[in-house]
Amino acid sequence: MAGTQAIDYTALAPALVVAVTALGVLVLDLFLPAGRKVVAAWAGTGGLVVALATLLPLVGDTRRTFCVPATNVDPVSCSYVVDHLTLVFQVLVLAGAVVVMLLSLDTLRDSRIPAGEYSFLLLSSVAGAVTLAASRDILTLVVALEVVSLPAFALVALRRFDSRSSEAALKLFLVSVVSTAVMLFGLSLVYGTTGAVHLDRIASALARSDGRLPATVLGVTLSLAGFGFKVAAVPFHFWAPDTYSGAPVPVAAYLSVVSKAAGFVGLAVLLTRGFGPYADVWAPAVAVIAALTMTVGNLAALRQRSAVRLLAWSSIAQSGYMLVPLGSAAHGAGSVDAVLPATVAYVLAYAVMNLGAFSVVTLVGRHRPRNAIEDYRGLGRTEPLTAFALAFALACLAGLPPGLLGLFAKVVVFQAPVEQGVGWLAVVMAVNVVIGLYYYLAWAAALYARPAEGARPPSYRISWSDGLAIGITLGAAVWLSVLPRMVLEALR
Amino acid sequence: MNPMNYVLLSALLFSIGSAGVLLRRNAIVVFMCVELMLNATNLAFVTFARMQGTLDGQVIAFFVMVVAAAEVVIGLAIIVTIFRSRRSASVDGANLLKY
Repeated sequence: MAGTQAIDYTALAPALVVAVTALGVLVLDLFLPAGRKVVAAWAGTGGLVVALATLLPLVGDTRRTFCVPATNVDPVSCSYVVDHLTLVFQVLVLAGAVVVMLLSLDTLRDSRIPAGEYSFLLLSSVAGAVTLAASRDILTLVVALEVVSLPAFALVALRRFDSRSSEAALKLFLVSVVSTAVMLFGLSLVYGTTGAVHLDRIASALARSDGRLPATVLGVTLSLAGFGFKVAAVPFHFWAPDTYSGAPVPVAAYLSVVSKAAGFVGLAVLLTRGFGPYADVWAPAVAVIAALTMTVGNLAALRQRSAVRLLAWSSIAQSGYMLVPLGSAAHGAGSVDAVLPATVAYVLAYAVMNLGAFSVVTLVGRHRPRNAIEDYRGLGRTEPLTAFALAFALACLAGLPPGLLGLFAKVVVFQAPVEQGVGWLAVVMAVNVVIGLYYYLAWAAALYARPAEGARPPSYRISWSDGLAIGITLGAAVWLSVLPRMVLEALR
Repeated sequence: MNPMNYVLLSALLFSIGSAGVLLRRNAIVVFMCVELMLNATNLAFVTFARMQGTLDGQVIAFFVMVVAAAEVVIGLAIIVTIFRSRRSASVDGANLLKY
Protein backbone atom coordinates (compact mmCIF):
# COMPACT_ATOMS: atom_id res chain seq x y z
CA MET A 1 0.00 0.00 0.00
CA ALA A 2 2.95 2.34 0.55
CA GLY A 3 2.70 5.35 -1.75
CA THR A 4 -0.08 4.10 -3.98
CA GLN A 5 -3.73 3.92 -3.16
CA ALA A 6 -6.08 1.15 -4.19
CA ILE A 7 -9.05 2.55 -6.09
CA ASP A 8 -12.33 0.67 -6.06
CA TYR A 9 -13.35 0.92 -9.71
CA THR A 10 -16.54 -1.07 -9.13
CA ALA A 11 -17.78 1.68 -6.83
CA LEU A 12 -16.80 4.36 -9.35
CA ALA A 13 -18.23 2.49 -12.35
CA PRO A 14 -21.62 4.28 -12.62
CA ALA A 15 -20.03 7.75 -12.72
CA LEU A 16 -17.23 6.58 -15.03
CA VAL A 17 -19.62 4.89 -17.48
CA VAL A 18 -21.72 8.06 -17.77
CA ALA A 19 -18.68 10.32 -18.19
CA VAL A 20 -17.04 8.07 -20.79
CA THR A 21 -20.34 7.79 -22.68
CA ALA A 22 -20.60 11.57 -22.69
CA LEU A 23 -17.21 11.88 -24.40
CA GLY A 24 -17.98 8.98 -26.71
CA VAL A 25 -21.24 10.59 -27.81
CA LEU A 26 -19.46 13.86 -28.61
CA VAL A 27 -16.93 12.03 -30.81
CA LEU A 28 -19.60 9.83 -32.39
CA ASP A 29 -21.51 12.98 -33.36
CA LEU A 30 -18.60 14.02 -35.62
CA PHE A 31 -18.95 10.91 -37.75
CA LEU A 32 -22.74 10.94 -38.13
CA PRO A 33 -24.30 12.30 -41.32
CA ALA A 34 -26.40 15.45 -40.88
CA GLY A 35 -29.75 13.66 -41.03
CA ARG A 36 -28.91 10.99 -38.48
CA LYS A 37 -27.62 13.01 -35.51
CA VAL A 38 -30.35 11.54 -33.28
CA VAL A 39 -28.29 8.31 -33.17
CA ALA A 40 -25.97 10.17 -30.76
CA ALA A 41 -28.89 10.67 -28.38
CA TRP A 42 -29.73 6.97 -28.65
CA ALA A 43 -26.15 6.08 -27.76
CA GLY A 44 -26.39 8.39 -24.76
CA THR A 45 -29.57 6.71 -23.56
CA GLY A 46 -27.86 3.35 -23.93
CA GLY A 47 -24.94 4.55 -21.81
CA LEU A 48 -27.34 5.59 -19.03
CA VAL A 49 -28.97 2.16 -19.07
CA VAL A 50 -25.53 0.50 -18.84
CA ALA A 51 -24.70 2.78 -15.90
CA LEU A 52 -27.92 1.64 -14.20
CA ALA A 53 -26.77 -1.97 -14.67
CA THR A 54 -23.38 -1.21 -13.07
CA LEU A 55 -25.23 -0.26 -9.88
CA LEU A 56 -26.32 -3.89 -9.37
CA PRO A 57 -22.98 -5.22 -7.96
CA LEU A 58 -22.97 -2.35 -5.45
CA VAL A 59 -26.21 -3.37 -3.71
CA GLY A 60 -25.82 -4.65 -0.17
CA ASP A 61 -22.51 -3.52 1.25
CA THR A 62 -20.97 -0.09 1.79
CA ARG A 63 -17.96 0.60 -0.41
CA ARG A 64 -15.40 3.32 0.25
CA THR A 65 -12.58 4.64 -1.87
CA PHE A 66 -10.18 7.62 -1.95
CA CYS A 67 -9.46 7.31 1.77
CA VAL A 68 -7.01 9.10 4.04
CA PRO A 69 -5.33 7.20 6.89
CA ALA A 70 -6.50 7.45 10.48
CA THR A 71 -5.10 10.15 12.77
CA ASN A 72 -4.82 10.01 16.53
CA VAL A 73 -8.35 11.44 16.91
CA ASP A 74 -10.15 10.32 13.75
CA PRO A 75 -10.59 6.94 12.03
CA VAL A 76 -10.03 6.43 8.29
CA SER A 77 -12.10 8.91 6.26
CA CYS A 78 -13.11 8.46 2.65
CA SER A 79 -14.08 10.95 -0.05
CA TYR A 80 -16.23 8.60 -2.12
CA VAL A 81 -18.66 6.35 -0.25
CA VAL A 82 -21.34 4.20 -1.89
CA ASP A 83 -23.86 3.40 0.84
CA HIS A 84 -27.60 2.87 0.80
CA LEU A 85 -28.43 6.59 0.56
CA THR A 86 -25.99 6.98 -2.36
CA LEU A 87 -27.48 4.03 -4.25
CA VAL A 88 -31.06 5.24 -3.84
CA PHE A 89 -30.16 8.61 -5.34
CA GLN A 90 -27.97 7.16 -8.09
CA VAL A 91 -30.87 4.97 -9.23
CA LEU A 92 -33.19 8.00 -9.12
CA VAL A 93 -30.78 10.24 -11.05
CA LEU A 94 -29.96 7.67 -13.74
CA ALA A 95 -33.56 6.49 -14.22
CA GLY A 96 -34.76 10.10 -14.34
CA ALA A 97 -32.10 10.92 -16.92
CA VAL A 98 -33.21 7.96 -19.08
CA VAL A 99 -36.78 9.34 -19.12
CA VAL A 100 -35.51 12.83 -19.95
CA MET A 101 -33.44 11.43 -22.83
CA LEU A 102 -36.47 9.55 -24.17
CA LEU A 103 -38.49 12.78 -24.05
CA SER A 104 -35.68 14.66 -25.79
CA LEU A 105 -35.48 12.37 -28.84
CA ASP A 106 -38.44 13.90 -30.70
CA THR A 107 -37.60 17.41 -29.52
CA LEU A 108 -34.11 17.00 -30.99
CA ARG A 109 -35.51 15.76 -34.29
CA ASP A 110 -38.06 18.55 -34.62
CA SER A 111 -36.02 21.53 -33.48
CA ARG A 112 -32.67 22.99 -34.42
CA ILE A 113 -30.91 21.83 -31.24
CA PRO A 114 -27.66 19.98 -32.06
CA ALA A 115 -28.24 16.39 -30.85
CA GLY A 116 -24.62 15.43 -30.17
CA GLU A 117 -23.84 18.46 -28.02
CA TYR A 118 -27.17 18.15 -26.24
CA SER A 119 -26.51 14.53 -25.26
CA PHE A 120 -22.94 15.31 -24.25
CA LEU A 121 -24.02 18.15 -21.95
CA LEU A 122 -26.89 16.18 -20.44
CA LEU A 123 -24.66 13.17 -19.72
CA SER A 124 -21.90 15.34 -18.24
CA SER A 125 -24.41 16.87 -15.87
CA VAL A 126 -25.72 13.40 -14.94
CA ALA A 127 -22.14 12.23 -14.25
CA GLY A 128 -21.85 15.11 -11.77
CA ALA A 129 -25.14 14.16 -10.12
CA VAL A 130 -24.04 10.52 -9.76
CA THR A 131 -20.76 11.65 -8.15
CA LEU A 132 -22.52 14.14 -5.88
CA ALA A 133 -24.56 11.35 -4.30
CA ALA A 134 -21.36 9.54 -3.28
CA SER A 135 -19.13 12.46 -2.28
CA ARG A 136 -18.28 12.75 1.40
CA ASP A 137 -15.84 15.67 1.55
CA ILE A 138 -16.48 19.36 0.93
CA LEU A 139 -14.19 19.60 -2.10
CA THR A 140 -15.80 16.67 -3.92
CA LEU A 141 -19.23 18.05 -3.03
CA VAL A 142 -18.46 21.47 -4.50
CA VAL A 143 -16.81 20.15 -7.65
CA ALA A 144 -19.62 17.61 -8.24
CA LEU A 145 -22.24 20.32 -7.70
CA GLU A 146 -20.51 22.49 -10.30
CA VAL A 147 -20.31 19.55 -12.71
CA VAL A 148 -24.10 19.27 -12.38
CA SER A 149 -24.65 23.01 -12.90
CA LEU A 150 -22.21 24.10 -15.60
CA PRO A 151 -23.50 21.83 -18.42
CA ALA A 152 -27.05 22.79 -17.40
CA PHE A 153 -26.38 26.46 -18.26
CA ALA A 154 -25.28 25.42 -21.73
CA LEU A 155 -28.26 23.06 -22.11
CA VAL A 156 -30.65 25.92 -21.40
CA ALA A 157 -28.81 28.24 -23.79
CA LEU A 158 -28.54 25.67 -26.57
CA ARG A 159 -31.34 27.24 -28.66
CA ARG A 160 -29.03 30.07 -29.71
CA PHE A 161 -31.53 31.48 -32.21
CA ASP A 162 -34.11 32.07 -29.45
CA SER A 163 -33.32 35.08 -27.29
CA ARG A 164 -35.66 33.80 -24.54
CA SER A 165 -33.38 30.80 -24.23
CA SER A 166 -30.22 32.84 -23.63
CA GLU A 167 -32.07 35.07 -21.19
CA ALA A 168 -33.17 31.97 -19.26
CA ALA A 169 -29.57 30.77 -19.23
CA LEU A 170 -28.26 34.13 -18.00
CA LYS A 171 -30.66 34.14 -15.06
CA LEU A 172 -29.78 30.54 -14.15
CA PHE A 173 -26.08 31.27 -14.51
CA LEU A 174 -25.92 34.43 -12.39
CA VAL A 175 -27.96 32.99 -9.51
CA SER A 176 -25.91 29.80 -9.62
CA VAL A 177 -22.43 31.35 -9.56
CA VAL A 178 -23.38 33.80 -6.80
CA SER A 179 -24.79 31.03 -4.61
CA THR A 180 -21.73 28.86 -5.28
CA ALA A 181 -19.44 31.69 -4.19
CA VAL A 182 -21.47 32.22 -1.01
CA MET A 183 -21.41 28.49 -0.26
CA LEU A 184 -17.64 28.30 -0.82
CA PHE A 185 -17.07 31.17 1.57
CA GLY A 186 -19.19 29.39 4.17
CA LEU A 187 -17.27 26.16 3.64
CA SER A 188 -13.95 28.01 4.00
CA LEU A 189 -15.08 29.26 7.43
CA VAL A 190 -16.08 25.71 8.41
CA TYR A 191 -12.69 24.45 7.21
CA GLY A 192 -10.94 27.23 9.10
CA THR A 193 -12.60 26.43 12.41
CA THR A 194 -12.56 22.62 12.17
CA GLY A 195 -9.42 22.02 10.09
CA ALA A 196 -11.15 19.12 8.32
CA VAL A 197 -12.46 18.58 4.79
CA HIS A 198 -14.06 15.15 5.20
CA LEU A 199 -17.64 15.38 6.39
CA ASP A 200 -17.26 12.77 9.14
CA ARG A 201 -14.20 14.60 10.49
CA ILE A 202 -16.04 17.93 10.36
CA ALA A 203 -18.85 16.29 12.34
CA SER A 204 -16.50 14.93 14.99
CA ALA A 205 -14.65 18.26 15.25
CA LEU A 206 -17.96 20.11 15.64
CA ALA A 207 -19.08 17.59 18.27
CA ARG A 208 -15.80 18.02 20.19
CA SER A 209 -15.97 21.82 20.32
CA ASP A 210 -18.02 23.11 23.20
CA GLY A 211 -20.15 26.18 22.69
CA ARG A 212 -21.04 27.69 19.33
CA LEU A 213 -18.29 29.63 17.55
CA PRO A 214 -19.85 32.57 15.63
CA ALA A 215 -17.56 31.90 12.65
CA THR A 216 -18.72 28.28 12.45
CA VAL A 217 -22.37 29.28 12.76
CA LEU A 218 -21.91 31.77 9.91
CA GLY A 219 -20.07 29.16 7.85
CA VAL A 220 -22.77 26.52 8.33
CA THR A 221 -25.51 29.00 7.42
CA LEU A 222 -23.76 30.31 4.30
CA SER A 223 -23.07 26.75 3.15
CA LEU A 224 -26.82 26.22 2.79
CA ALA A 225 -26.90 28.81 0.00
CA GLY A 226 -25.39 26.71 -2.77
CA PHE A 227 -27.81 23.87 -2.28
CA GLY A 228 -30.68 26.28 -1.63
CA PHE A 229 -30.16 27.48 -5.19
CA LYS A 230 -29.99 23.98 -6.61
CA VAL A 231 -33.31 22.93 -5.02
CA ALA A 232 -34.89 26.34 -5.86
CA ALA A 233 -35.65 27.23 -2.26
CA VAL A 234 -36.77 30.76 -1.40
CA PRO A 235 -34.87 33.21 -1.61
CA PHE A 236 -32.90 31.47 -4.39
CA HIS A 237 -35.97 30.49 -6.41
CA PHE A 238 -36.31 33.38 -8.89
CA TRP A 239 -34.46 31.63 -11.66
CA ALA A 240 -36.75 28.60 -11.75
CA PRO A 241 -39.92 29.81 -13.53
CA ASP A 242 -38.04 31.91 -16.08
CA THR A 243 -35.45 29.24 -16.77
CA TYR A 244 -38.02 26.45 -17.09
CA SER A 245 -40.13 28.42 -19.54
CA GLY A 246 -37.14 29.61 -21.61
CA ALA A 247 -35.49 26.21 -21.86
CA PRO A 248 -36.59 23.27 -24.04
CA VAL A 249 -39.28 21.39 -22.04
CA PRO A 250 -37.18 18.21 -21.53
CA VAL A 251 -34.40 20.38 -20.09
CA ALA A 252 -36.93 21.94 -17.71
CA ALA A 253 -37.92 18.40 -16.69
CA TYR A 254 -34.24 17.62 -16.11
CA LEU A 255 -33.71 20.72 -13.97
CA SER A 256 -36.82 20.14 -11.93
CA VAL A 257 -36.22 16.45 -11.24
CA VAL A 258 -32.65 15.17 -11.73
CA SER A 259 -30.78 18.34 -10.88
CA LYS A 260 -33.10 19.05 -7.94
CA ALA A 261 -32.63 15.50 -6.62
CA ALA A 262 -28.87 16.03 -6.86
CA GLY A 263 -29.25 19.23 -4.86
CA PHE A 264 -31.25 17.40 -2.21
CA VAL A 265 -28.78 14.56 -1.81
CA GLY A 266 -25.95 17.08 -1.49
CA LEU A 267 -27.90 19.08 1.08
CA ALA A 268 -28.89 15.96 3.02
CA VAL A 269 -25.33 14.60 3.05
CA LEU A 270 -23.83 17.94 4.08
CA LEU A 271 -26.37 18.61 6.83
CA THR A 272 -26.65 15.11 8.30
CA ARG A 273 -23.16 13.65 7.80
CA GLY A 274 -21.19 16.88 8.23
CA PHE A 275 -23.13 19.44 10.22
CA GLY A 276 -25.15 16.97 12.33
CA PRO A 277 -23.87 18.29 15.70
CA TYR A 278 -24.97 21.81 14.68
CA ALA A 279 -28.55 20.72 13.97
CA ASP A 280 -29.85 23.23 16.50
CA VAL A 281 -28.28 25.98 14.35
CA TRP A 282 -29.33 24.98 10.85
CA ALA A 283 -32.63 23.21 11.50
CA PRO A 284 -34.58 26.37 12.48
CA ALA A 285 -33.14 28.16 9.44
CA VAL A 286 -34.16 25.28 7.16
CA ALA A 287 -37.63 25.26 8.78
CA VAL A 288 -38.15 28.95 7.97
CA ILE A 289 -36.86 28.42 4.41
CA ALA A 290 -39.20 25.43 4.00
CA ALA A 291 -42.23 27.41 5.19
CA LEU A 292 -41.40 30.36 2.92
CA THR A 293 -40.62 28.12 -0.06
CA MET A 294 -43.90 26.23 -0.02
CA THR A 295 -46.00 29.33 0.67
CA VAL A 296 -44.39 31.47 -2.04
CA GLY A 297 -44.41 28.58 -4.53
CA ASN A 298 -48.06 27.73 -3.97
CA LEU A 299 -49.33 31.32 -3.97
CA ALA A 300 -47.49 32.15 -7.19
CA ALA A 301 -48.66 28.91 -8.82
CA LEU A 302 -52.29 29.92 -8.24
CA ARG A 303 -52.17 32.62 -10.92
CA GLN A 304 -50.13 30.87 -13.62
CA ARG A 305 -51.62 30.42 -17.09
CA SER A 306 -48.73 28.57 -18.71
CA ALA A 307 -48.28 24.86 -18.03
CA VAL A 308 -44.49 24.96 -17.67
CA ARG A 309 -44.54 28.00 -15.38
CA LEU A 310 -47.22 26.37 -13.24
CA LEU A 311 -45.06 23.26 -12.90
CA ALA A 312 -42.07 25.47 -12.08
CA TRP A 313 -43.84 27.21 -9.20
CA SER A 314 -45.37 23.93 -8.07
CA SER A 315 -41.90 22.34 -8.02
CA ILE A 316 -40.71 25.23 -5.82
CA ALA A 317 -43.60 24.47 -3.45
CA GLN A 318 -42.74 20.76 -3.53
CA SER A 319 -39.14 21.64 -2.58
CA GLY A 320 -40.60 23.27 0.50
CA TYR A 321 -42.30 19.98 1.48
CA MET A 322 -39.02 18.12 0.98
CA LEU A 323 -37.22 20.54 3.30
CA VAL A 324 -39.81 20.12 6.09
CA PRO A 325 -38.26 16.95 7.65
CA LEU A 326 -34.77 18.49 7.62
CA GLY A 327 -36.21 21.62 9.19
CA SER A 328 -37.61 19.66 12.12
CA ALA A 329 -34.30 17.96 13.04
CA ALA A 330 -33.49 20.27 15.94
CA HIS A 331 -33.18 17.88 18.86
CA GLY A 332 -29.78 16.24 18.92
CA ALA A 333 -27.87 14.01 16.53
CA GLY A 334 -30.32 11.08 16.74
CA SER A 335 -33.21 13.07 15.29
CA VAL A 336 -31.13 14.00 12.23
CA ASP A 337 -31.04 10.36 11.21
CA ALA A 338 -34.71 9.99 12.13
CA VAL A 339 -35.93 12.65 9.67
CA LEU A 340 -33.69 11.81 6.70
CA PRO A 341 -35.83 8.88 5.39
CA ALA A 342 -38.87 11.17 5.09
CA THR A 343 -37.01 13.63 2.86
CA VAL A 344 -35.60 10.82 0.73
CA ALA A 345 -39.04 9.22 0.35
CA TYR A 346 -40.58 12.52 -0.77
CA VAL A 347 -37.80 13.23 -3.27
CA LEU A 348 -38.33 9.77 -4.81
CA ALA A 349 -42.11 10.17 -5.01
CA TYR A 350 -41.77 13.71 -6.38
CA ALA A 351 -39.39 12.53 -9.12
CA VAL A 352 -41.90 9.95 -10.35
CA MET A 353 -44.94 12.22 -10.32
CA ASN A 354 -43.23 15.34 -11.67
CA LEU A 355 -41.58 13.44 -14.54
CA GLY A 356 -45.02 12.02 -15.30
CA ALA A 357 -46.49 15.52 -15.56
CA PHE A 358 -43.54 16.83 -17.57
CA SER A 359 -43.63 13.99 -20.09
CA VAL A 360 -47.22 14.84 -21.07
CA VAL A 361 -46.46 18.58 -21.04
CA THR A 362 -43.50 17.94 -23.40
CA LEU A 363 -45.75 16.02 -25.76
CA VAL A 364 -48.53 18.64 -25.79
CA GLY A 365 -45.98 21.48 -26.02
CA ARG A 366 -44.70 20.00 -29.27
CA HIS A 367 -48.13 20.52 -30.85
CA ARG A 368 -49.14 23.69 -28.98
CA PRO A 369 -45.96 25.79 -28.65
CA ARG A 370 -47.68 28.28 -26.32
CA ASN A 371 -48.39 25.44 -23.88
CA ALA A 372 -51.03 27.33 -21.90
CA ILE A 373 -53.35 25.58 -19.45
CA GLU A 374 -56.35 26.27 -21.72
CA ASP A 375 -54.68 24.27 -24.50
CA TYR A 376 -55.31 21.23 -22.31
CA ARG A 377 -59.07 21.81 -22.18
CA GLY A 378 -60.86 18.75 -23.49
CA LEU A 379 -57.69 16.71 -23.95
CA GLY A 380 -59.53 13.82 -22.30
CA ARG A 381 -61.78 13.53 -25.39
CA THR A 382 -59.13 13.56 -28.09
CA GLU A 383 -56.26 11.83 -26.26
CA PRO A 384 -57.72 9.84 -23.34
CA LEU A 385 -54.44 8.01 -22.58
CA THR A 386 -52.14 10.98 -22.18
CA ALA A 387 -54.90 12.94 -20.44
CA PHE A 388 -55.21 10.11 -17.91
CA ALA A 389 -51.42 10.04 -17.40
CA LEU A 390 -51.37 13.78 -16.74
CA ALA A 391 -54.44 13.69 -14.49
CA PHE A 392 -52.92 10.87 -12.44
CA ALA A 393 -49.60 12.73 -12.08
CA LEU A 394 -51.48 15.87 -10.98
CA ALA A 395 -53.54 13.89 -8.46
CA CYS A 396 -50.28 12.50 -7.07
CA LEU A 397 -48.72 15.97 -6.83
CA ALA A 398 -51.85 17.23 -5.07
CA GLY A 399 -51.89 14.19 -2.77
CA LEU A 400 -55.47 13.13 -3.48
CA PRO A 401 -56.73 9.62 -4.22
CA PRO A 402 -56.26 7.94 -6.67
CA GLY A 403 -52.78 9.46 -6.52
CA LEU A 404 -51.94 7.59 -3.34
CA LEU A 405 -48.19 7.90 -3.94
CA GLY A 406 -48.30 11.65 -3.29
CA LEU A 407 -50.67 11.19 -0.35
CA PHE A 408 -48.43 8.66 1.41
CA ALA A 409 -45.32 10.75 0.76
CA LYS A 410 -47.04 13.83 2.22
CA VAL A 411 -48.14 11.89 5.31
CA VAL A 412 -44.56 10.67 5.90
CA VAL A 413 -43.21 14.21 5.57
CA PHE A 414 -45.99 15.54 7.80
CA GLN A 415 -45.10 13.07 10.57
CA ALA A 416 -41.57 14.49 10.94
CA PRO A 417 -42.47 17.94 12.40
CA VAL A 418 -45.29 16.40 14.45
CA GLU A 419 -42.98 13.80 16.03
CA GLN A 420 -40.15 16.27 16.57
CA GLY A 421 -42.47 18.84 18.12
CA VAL A 422 -42.23 21.60 15.49
CA GLY A 423 -45.98 22.16 15.39
CA TRP A 424 -46.06 25.45 13.50
CA LEU A 425 -44.23 23.90 10.53
CA ALA A 426 -46.83 21.10 10.38
CA VAL A 427 -49.63 23.70 10.34
CA VAL A 428 -47.97 25.73 7.56
CA MET A 429 -47.53 22.56 5.53
CA ALA A 430 -51.16 21.49 6.00
CA VAL A 431 -52.42 24.91 4.84
CA ASN A 432 -50.12 24.74 1.82
CA VAL A 433 -51.28 21.28 0.80
CA VAL A 434 -54.84 22.67 0.70
CA ILE A 435 -53.77 25.66 -1.43
CA GLY A 436 -51.98 23.24 -3.75
CA LEU A 437 -55.15 21.22 -4.27
CA TYR A 438 -56.77 24.14 -6.07
CA TYR A 439 -54.42 24.60 -8.98
CA TYR A 440 -53.63 20.92 -9.50
CA LEU A 441 -57.30 19.99 -9.52
CA ALA A 442 -58.31 22.94 -11.69
CA TRP A 443 -55.84 21.74 -14.31
CA ALA A 444 -56.94 18.10 -13.98
CA ALA A 445 -60.60 19.16 -14.29
CA ALA A 446 -59.82 21.18 -17.43
CA LEU A 447 -58.54 17.98 -19.06
CA TYR A 448 -62.03 16.48 -18.89
CA ALA A 449 -64.04 19.67 -19.42
CA ARG A 450 -65.97 20.46 -22.60
CA PRO A 451 -63.60 22.16 -25.10
CA ALA A 452 -64.18 25.89 -25.58
CA GLU A 453 -66.39 27.04 -28.50
CA GLY A 454 -64.49 26.67 -31.77
CA ALA A 455 -61.29 25.44 -30.08
CA ARG A 456 -59.91 22.04 -31.03
CA PRO A 457 -58.02 20.15 -28.30
CA PRO A 458 -54.64 18.85 -29.48
CA SER A 459 -54.67 15.48 -31.16
CA TYR A 460 -51.53 13.64 -32.19
CA ARG A 461 -49.80 10.37 -32.85
CA ILE A 462 -47.64 9.40 -29.90
CA SER A 463 -44.16 8.38 -31.01
CA TRP A 464 -42.88 5.29 -29.27
CA SER A 465 -40.11 7.11 -27.39
CA ASP A 466 -42.65 9.53 -25.90
CA GLY A 467 -45.01 6.62 -25.27
CA LEU A 468 -42.24 4.74 -23.46
CA ALA A 469 -41.45 7.77 -21.27
CA ILE A 470 -45.11 8.31 -20.38
CA GLY A 471 -45.57 4.59 -19.84
CA ILE A 472 -42.55 4.31 -17.51
CA THR A 473 -43.61 7.26 -15.36
CA LEU A 474 -47.31 6.34 -15.27
CA GLY A 475 -46.46 2.71 -14.56
CA ALA A 476 -44.10 3.70 -11.75
CA ALA A 477 -46.67 6.10 -10.27
CA VAL A 478 -49.48 3.51 -10.33
CA TRP A 479 -47.22 0.74 -9.04
CA LEU A 480 -45.88 2.87 -6.19
CA SER A 481 -49.40 4.01 -5.34
CA VAL A 482 -50.31 0.36 -4.80
CA LEU A 483 -47.04 -0.61 -3.11
CA PRO A 484 -45.75 2.61 -1.52
CA ARG A 485 -43.40 0.74 0.83
CA MET A 486 -40.77 0.67 -1.94
CA VAL A 487 -40.45 4.43 -1.66
CA LEU A 488 -41.40 5.08 1.94
CA GLU A 489 -38.93 2.57 3.30
CA ALA A 490 -36.21 3.16 0.74
CA LEU A 491 -33.74 4.02 3.49
CA ARG A 492 -34.75 1.45 6.08
CA MET B 1 2.32 38.91 10.41
CA ASN B 2 -0.85 37.74 12.08
CA PRO B 3 -2.72 35.50 9.58
CA MET B 4 -6.02 36.78 10.98
CA ASN B 5 -5.45 39.95 8.91
CA TYR B 6 -5.70 37.88 5.74
CA VAL B 7 -9.01 36.44 6.89
CA LEU B 8 -10.30 39.97 7.45
CA LEU B 9 -9.00 41.01 4.01
CA SER B 10 -10.80 38.07 2.43
CA ALA B 11 -14.03 38.98 4.25
CA LEU B 12 -13.66 42.55 2.97
CA LEU B 13 -13.07 41.39 -0.62
CA PHE B 14 -16.07 39.07 -0.35
CA SER B 15 -18.28 41.92 0.87
CA ILE B 16 -17.13 44.22 -1.95
CA GLY B 17 -17.88 41.45 -4.43
CA SER B 18 -21.35 40.77 -3.06
CA ALA B 19 -22.17 44.50 -2.96
CA GLY B 20 -21.15 44.70 -6.61
CA VAL B 21 -23.37 41.74 -7.53
CA LEU B 22 -26.34 43.42 -5.89
CA LEU B 23 -25.74 46.95 -7.19
CA ARG B 24 -24.27 46.74 -10.69
CA ARG B 25 -26.49 46.30 -13.76
CA ASN B 26 -24.03 45.18 -16.45
CA ALA B 27 -23.87 41.38 -16.68
CA ILE B 28 -20.10 41.40 -17.27
CA VAL B 29 -19.46 43.61 -14.22
CA VAL B 30 -21.75 41.40 -12.11
CA PHE B 31 -19.73 38.45 -13.32
CA MET B 32 -16.44 40.17 -12.40
CA CYS B 33 -17.80 40.76 -8.91
CA VAL B 34 -18.59 37.03 -8.62
CA GLU B 35 -14.98 36.31 -9.55
CA LEU B 36 -13.91 38.68 -6.77
CA MET B 37 -16.05 36.69 -4.33
CA LEU B 38 -14.46 33.44 -5.50
CA ASN B 39 -10.96 34.88 -5.11
CA ALA B 40 -11.82 36.08 -1.61
CA THR B 41 -12.80 32.48 -0.90
CA ASN B 42 -9.44 31.28 -2.23
CA LEU B 43 -7.59 33.69 0.03
CA ALA B 44 -9.61 32.45 3.00
CA PHE B 45 -8.88 28.80 2.16
CA VAL B 46 -5.12 29.41 1.79
CA THR B 47 -4.99 31.43 5.01
CA PHE B 48 -6.87 28.79 6.94
CA ALA B 49 -4.57 26.10 5.48
CA ARG B 50 -1.61 28.07 6.88
CA MET B 51 -3.31 28.49 10.26
CA GLN B 52 -4.28 24.81 10.46
CA GLY B 53 -0.94 23.58 9.18
CA THR B 54 -2.60 21.29 6.58
CA LEU B 55 -2.45 21.37 2.79
CA ASP B 56 -6.14 20.68 2.17
CA GLY B 57 -7.07 24.36 1.93
CA GLN B 58 -4.45 25.04 -0.71
CA VAL B 59 -5.64 22.09 -2.79
CA ILE B 60 -9.21 23.40 -2.54
CA ALA B 61 -8.03 26.82 -3.75
CA PHE B 62 -6.63 25.18 -6.91
CA PHE B 63 -9.91 23.40 -7.57
CA VAL B 64 -11.86 26.62 -7.03
CA MET B 65 -9.67 28.27 -9.67
CA VAL B 66 -10.47 25.48 -12.13
CA VAL B 67 -14.18 25.76 -11.37
CA ALA B 68 -14.01 29.55 -11.81
CA ALA B 69 -12.26 29.15 -15.16
CA ALA B 70 -14.99 26.76 -16.34
CA GLU B 71 -17.62 29.24 -15.17
CA VAL B 72 -15.92 32.02 -17.17
CA VAL B 73 -16.05 29.93 -20.34
CA ILE B 74 -19.77 29.26 -20.12
CA GLY B 75 -20.71 32.62 -18.59
CA LEU B 76 -19.00 34.73 -21.24
CA ALA B 77 -20.51 32.55 -23.97
CA ILE B 78 -24.00 33.20 -22.58
CA ILE B 79 -23.35 36.94 -22.18
CA VAL B 80 -22.04 37.16 -25.77
CA THR B 81 -25.17 35.38 -27.04
CA ILE B 82 -27.36 37.85 -25.14
CA PHE B 83 -25.32 40.77 -26.47
CA ARG B 84 -25.64 39.55 -30.06
CA SER B 85 -29.42 39.46 -29.94
CA ARG B 86 -29.92 42.52 -27.74
CA ARG B 87 -26.91 44.83 -28.37
CA SER B 88 -26.67 45.31 -24.59
CA ALA B 89 -25.33 43.32 -21.67
CA SER B 90 -27.54 45.00 -19.08
CA VAL B 91 -29.37 42.62 -16.77
CA ASP B 92 -32.31 45.07 -16.74
CA GLY B 93 -32.79 44.43 -20.44
CA ALA B 94 -33.33 40.71 -19.83
CA ASN B 95 -37.09 41.00 -19.42
CA LEU B 96 -38.70 38.71 -21.99
CA LEU B 97 -39.59 36.12 -19.37
CA LYS B 98 -41.84 37.39 -16.62
CA TYR B 99 -44.64 36.30 -14.34
